[in-house]
Amino acid sequence: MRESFTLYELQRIVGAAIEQFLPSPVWVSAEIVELKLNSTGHCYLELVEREQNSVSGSTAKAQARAVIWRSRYPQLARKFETATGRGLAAAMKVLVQVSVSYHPLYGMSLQITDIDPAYTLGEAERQKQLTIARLKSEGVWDKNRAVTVSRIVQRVAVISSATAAGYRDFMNEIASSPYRIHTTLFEALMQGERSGQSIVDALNAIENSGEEFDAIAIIRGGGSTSDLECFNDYQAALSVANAPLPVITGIGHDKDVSVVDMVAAIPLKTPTAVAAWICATAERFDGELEYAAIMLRESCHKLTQSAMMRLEQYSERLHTGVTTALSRQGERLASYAMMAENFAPQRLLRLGFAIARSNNGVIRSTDDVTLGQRITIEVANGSITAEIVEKDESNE
Amino acid sequence: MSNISYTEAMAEIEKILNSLQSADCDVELLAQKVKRASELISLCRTKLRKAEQEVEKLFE
Repeated sequence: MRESFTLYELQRIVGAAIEQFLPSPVWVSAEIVELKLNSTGHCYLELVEREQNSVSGSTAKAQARAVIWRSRYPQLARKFETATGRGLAAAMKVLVQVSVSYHPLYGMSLQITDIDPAYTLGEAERQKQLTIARLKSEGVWDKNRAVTVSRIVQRVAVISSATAAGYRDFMNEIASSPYRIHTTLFEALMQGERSGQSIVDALNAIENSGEEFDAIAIIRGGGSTSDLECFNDYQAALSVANAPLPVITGIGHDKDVSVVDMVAAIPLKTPTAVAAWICATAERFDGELEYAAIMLRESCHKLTQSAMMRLEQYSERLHTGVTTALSRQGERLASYAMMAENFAPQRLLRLGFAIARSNNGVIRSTDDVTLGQRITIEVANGSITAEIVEKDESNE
Repeated sequence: MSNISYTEAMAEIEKILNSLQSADCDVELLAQKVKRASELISLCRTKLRKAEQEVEKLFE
């Protein structure tokens, strides 16, 4: 019979080999795929290392179970959250100190004894920069900012969580406005690992709703200021950049600007600020209408005033016109009268001219009279009777 | 007379005013022209006041 081990013996050897080669804890970088805190206070994790793959994106290259014992967990969790502003969660890249153990029944397991939050922060930042670079290279970076914002934003599609404090703040601010703003809530998870996809789904739901909106507001749900990772998610940011309506964000953080904020047409700090901005568009438009009404009234007034003035001028011109026309005609008549006067016979007689008459009328020629004939000569103050004694026709 | 538009009335008033300035203005037609122009002017005034009131009402 060949030399053989029982299964237990073999496992013991593997366990001993591990203990021999890895006697003290080592630092390991990995990604958390799954994280469960059980009722006894131990935290169980599934760690993975991925390999980039041109076909399917990434595939697991190595995987291992890990645990943070109840004795260490509260301290590590606090340390991590204080440094990163986020709780340990799936999809995070972590650098952890582990001791490797091997149990004949349960196989290999990693006991996490410490964690380096700086690594996670660096990884998140690196990932964020990669996302920014990718969106830029795909030409969608400025897309949402290029969407025309209508003069008045009155119909708003809101992406938030109905129970969130931020959403309540937003709705309260909207309600306090004297303008009626229509909002429709498209619910989404605003934190946690599925929130990125949830935002994408909400954006799609808005597009497929068939309703008309002027803008999309993304209002962050939760009260915790920590978990903002979903707003750096590539898919979420891509959907926001590609949104056909201007996106207004009120994610409510002051530490860091997320990628979603960077691509959104109108990035604002808080849900209240988003509501105030929306109400302000209505107020501005109202002001413009008010001003237009005043201008309209004023120009109407000016128009009728100048028309009235013109009528008054015409009335006056009519009066002076007819007066001058009449006096012009009067003057003309007077000059005609004077001309007529100049040729009047009495005036000629006074000047020394005389009119000679025979029985046949006014004498104009020597032929009109005969020698010895009696004629009458009219002068200015009477007439003279004369006799023709001679005729001289030398003037002919 | 009341069928005439404001613009037509204004044009006719202007025509009469111009004819008053020409030297060979017909005296016999003078009174007739002045009467016509006066009537047109008061017609325009009425139209204008009415328009003013209508506009004011719109702003109330």
